[in-house]
Amino acid sequence: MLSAIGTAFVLLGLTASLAGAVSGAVALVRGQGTASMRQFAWMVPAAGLGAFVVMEIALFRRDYSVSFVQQVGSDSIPAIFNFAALWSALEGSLILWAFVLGGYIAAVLIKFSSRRNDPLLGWAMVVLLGISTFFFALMAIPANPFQRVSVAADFVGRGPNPLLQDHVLVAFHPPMLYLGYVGFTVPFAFAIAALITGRLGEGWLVETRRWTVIAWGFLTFGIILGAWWSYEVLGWGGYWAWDPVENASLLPWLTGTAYLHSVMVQERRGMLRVWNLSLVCATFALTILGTFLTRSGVIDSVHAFADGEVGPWLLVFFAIITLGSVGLIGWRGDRLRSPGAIDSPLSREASFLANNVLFGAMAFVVLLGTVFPLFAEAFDGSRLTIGRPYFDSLGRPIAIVTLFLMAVAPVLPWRKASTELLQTRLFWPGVSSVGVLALAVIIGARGFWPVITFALAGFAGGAAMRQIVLATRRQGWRGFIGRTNGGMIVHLGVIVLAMGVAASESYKTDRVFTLEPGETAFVDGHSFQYDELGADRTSRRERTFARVIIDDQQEYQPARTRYTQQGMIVGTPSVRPGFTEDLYLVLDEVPPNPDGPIRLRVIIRPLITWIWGGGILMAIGTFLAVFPGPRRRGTDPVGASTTPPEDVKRDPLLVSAFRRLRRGVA
Amino acid sequence: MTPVEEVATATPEPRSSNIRSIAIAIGIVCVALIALLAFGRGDLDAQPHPLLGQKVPQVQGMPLEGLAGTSVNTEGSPIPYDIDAEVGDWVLVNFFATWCAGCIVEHPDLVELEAWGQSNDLSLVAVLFDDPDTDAVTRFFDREGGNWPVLESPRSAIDFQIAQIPESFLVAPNGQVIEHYIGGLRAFQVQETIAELEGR
Amino acid sequence: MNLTAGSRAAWALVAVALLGLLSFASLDTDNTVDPGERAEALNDLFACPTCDGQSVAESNAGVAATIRQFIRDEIAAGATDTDIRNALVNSYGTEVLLNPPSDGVATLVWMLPVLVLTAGVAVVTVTVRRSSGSADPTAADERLVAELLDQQRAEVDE
Repeated sequence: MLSAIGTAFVLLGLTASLAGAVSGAVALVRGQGTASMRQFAWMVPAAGLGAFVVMEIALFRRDYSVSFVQQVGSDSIPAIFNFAALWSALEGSLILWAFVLGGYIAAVLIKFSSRRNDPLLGWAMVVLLGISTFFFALMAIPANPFQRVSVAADFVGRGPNPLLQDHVLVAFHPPMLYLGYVGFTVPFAFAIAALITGRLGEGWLVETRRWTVIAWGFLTFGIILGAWWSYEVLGWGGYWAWDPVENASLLPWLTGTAYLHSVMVQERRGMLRVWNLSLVCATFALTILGTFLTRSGVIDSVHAFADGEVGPWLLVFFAIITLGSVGLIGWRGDRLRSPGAIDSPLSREASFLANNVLFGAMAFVVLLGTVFPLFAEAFDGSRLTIGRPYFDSLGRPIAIVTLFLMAVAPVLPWRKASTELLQTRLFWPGVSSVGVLALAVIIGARGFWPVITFALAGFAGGAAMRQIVLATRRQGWRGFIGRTNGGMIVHLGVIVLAMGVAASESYKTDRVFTLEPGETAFVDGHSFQYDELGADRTSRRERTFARVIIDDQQEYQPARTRYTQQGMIVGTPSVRPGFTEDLYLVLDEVPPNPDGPIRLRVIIRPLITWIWGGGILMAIGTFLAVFPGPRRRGTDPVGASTTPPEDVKRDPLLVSAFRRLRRGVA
Repeated sequence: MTPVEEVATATPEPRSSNIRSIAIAIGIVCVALIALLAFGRGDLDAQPHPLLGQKVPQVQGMPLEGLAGTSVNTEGSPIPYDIDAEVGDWVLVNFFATWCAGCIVEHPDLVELEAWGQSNDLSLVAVLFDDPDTDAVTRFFDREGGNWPVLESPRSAIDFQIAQIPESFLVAPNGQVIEHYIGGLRAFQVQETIAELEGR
Repeated sequence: MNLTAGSRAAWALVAVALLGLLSFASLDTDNTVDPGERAEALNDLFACPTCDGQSVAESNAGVAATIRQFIRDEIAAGATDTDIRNALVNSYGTEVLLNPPSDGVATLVWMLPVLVLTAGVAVVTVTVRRSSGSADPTAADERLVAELLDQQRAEVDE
């Protein structure tokens, strides 16, 4: 019954998307109204919501006649994980994708309802519906979650992959990521619409500015939550392994971040039109590429649960998107010449260009490192692995320069800055840099990479604080909101995160002990006393845990858990989090008899909680950036009221504009 | 935008023809990437074990004390094991751990092979794989039987590229590795191979 | 805004403090590496052969534990890092190296990013260079700008 209703929703979504896209495109080409497209478009969110709700009902009822429920449903797991089981495998993830895309389509329909006859919006909707056609088609043909299957009456579901069963972050990480991925569809649709209609000015970009920020915020938070989950669940003491699937989520983040910055240059100066269009298209294309890499099994990854059948579909879709975007940009090349110029390397716009070079280079490194093993094998049969050392050695310098830019860029005015101005504005950030560095060195930080990270973090943090202080001094609490101010809070989040990464990677301690009951191990001034083994069991799992008392205070229970339905043994780490350091315990080995020795791995990572803290700060900053900021005047967004007129008078652009005027007069 | 900005000079940004040729170049790169993703993957999993046909790597070390299969000298301390001393006969090198379910399943077949091997020039040697608890090994052999030497030798696990135990290798009297058994062997597989190669 | 001698001195102080602390912290490192740390560092460089790109340090798989043990044993036996690397490459092939080698086709994976970054920097530099460089304003320009500024201020004040 539920499988029939679910299939009906999928087919409704497919036909409505297809009919809407086709009728809309025909109407727009003929110059007719697009009322019928909008009617079809409204059915898409309804279908997405319907499919989502039906699948959740099926999961809660454990209706094993639905194929997806048979795959991931279980009688024994708690309700919240049954809810989250929807996105624990491919077919259900597609439902989530379609549901979120439907939500964005509805939001676009509502937000722009007053401009229904604008061809730009018409074409954007055609693109959105085209994309939703694809996802509903995936659900209808190669990966149908609602297939009707017959099961024995006593069939008991196995539940999702054990790694996805037991942590609350599982309930939030994928939806956040999808809200981010899918969110980039909206700016992409507007960019394509701008290319088709030839309205290539700043209109489309301003329309979608806020949408991009929101999508970026979700993606950022989703990635951080994923790292957090990996740390809490996977039991190797790390949070980021440069795994292809992680890289796949990082790629659109990098291009998206580049876009968020370069878009400001276009808004203000009308420059970089081709570049911005390319970044938007690349960001969306990379979300599809990421899904392809995750789902096709083409690249080995611990995350990749190969579902070969959708692979070719996703690759064809990726091809359509990239070649279509590149073709459109090439076709419209003549209209994309932009006015305006960069006047000085010491200017806000030049710093955004530098930012784009860095983020572009990093995206290139990540993409290259991810697909290079495939290339090498196709080229001369050599088998390579590209992992952490490669990404670290190239990523570290890029990150350092980025941090430096984060210090300088926020104090730069548009157009041109004088060195005097820079010296004045950067003085307190410079002092803050010395302060943070001195503190780090006194506490005991050593080594070039971590220490320069702390110094630059102080520098960039000082610059961000300067902006926030100036803004709040001028505007009170409104100084926290708006794109620039919220952006500075995001910067602070990045800085906190960077310090967390530097400290937790550079000053990590990782030791393995074999401990008899009652024996104590000592690491870095902490004691770890192994008391005894314990065990508990539920219907779905048997947990063997070691009672370990840290610093004679509290008991922690690193465990090995056997999930009876999957027959899979998973190590469950136990973590004592702290502001300055995390103590991370992994039970490596359990003796067959309870009196035997255990093998206990102790990992100490300083400042790792700063990474999650930084992520939360970034999310808060993004949220604040979405609200309209205080209105500014003048050409310098940072210090309009503090900038003396002389500063503006030196503006060469103004001067050159007047030269032309003068020539015209003469 | 302020009115001033609108009269800003148009400086030479990329010309349309430039944009077109760049777009074409990027398009070609994208096509190459897509082709790579579509056809780039060879059959990775169908490769035979690289040791097959090669001379057997060194397997040597001190067998675990207290096992029936450990040969001892007159003073009762174990004699080091070296596979070179055994080559000339057939040798089965078995990698196992006490925590490995497949190994427990496989064990009776190994016991059967050992008995059969005494009259058929086959000896066995086991190498522990990621199993530091040697007491457990003693209990394992007490319980499951078997009288062959057991070595602790991570080096051998590396040399034989062990990935998923149980794994075993059959070494011919000339020292060549001629068979690789993965995921549990059956006694008759080994017996048939030996019989076939000896022309019996 | 003119820089006073005082602020210049303050900057010099900041710069000296930064450089001093940085060089102190980068040089004052403990160069003696104990075997445990050496093993830890090596564990990070090799891929666990069965677990798709995780490093030996990260993976909980049996083969990763075996390689960790192998590395500890070899270090204890006096092997150099290169010996250990060669032994692992001999068994598992170049795939076991998480850091791609710098010969053969793998050189590309190191060179291409550098090329792309250089090209990016070059394009940006050329863009900025080409469009900047308007000459210093003449007195007449200054006057016109001043007029415009007055005009603009008047508009803003309205």
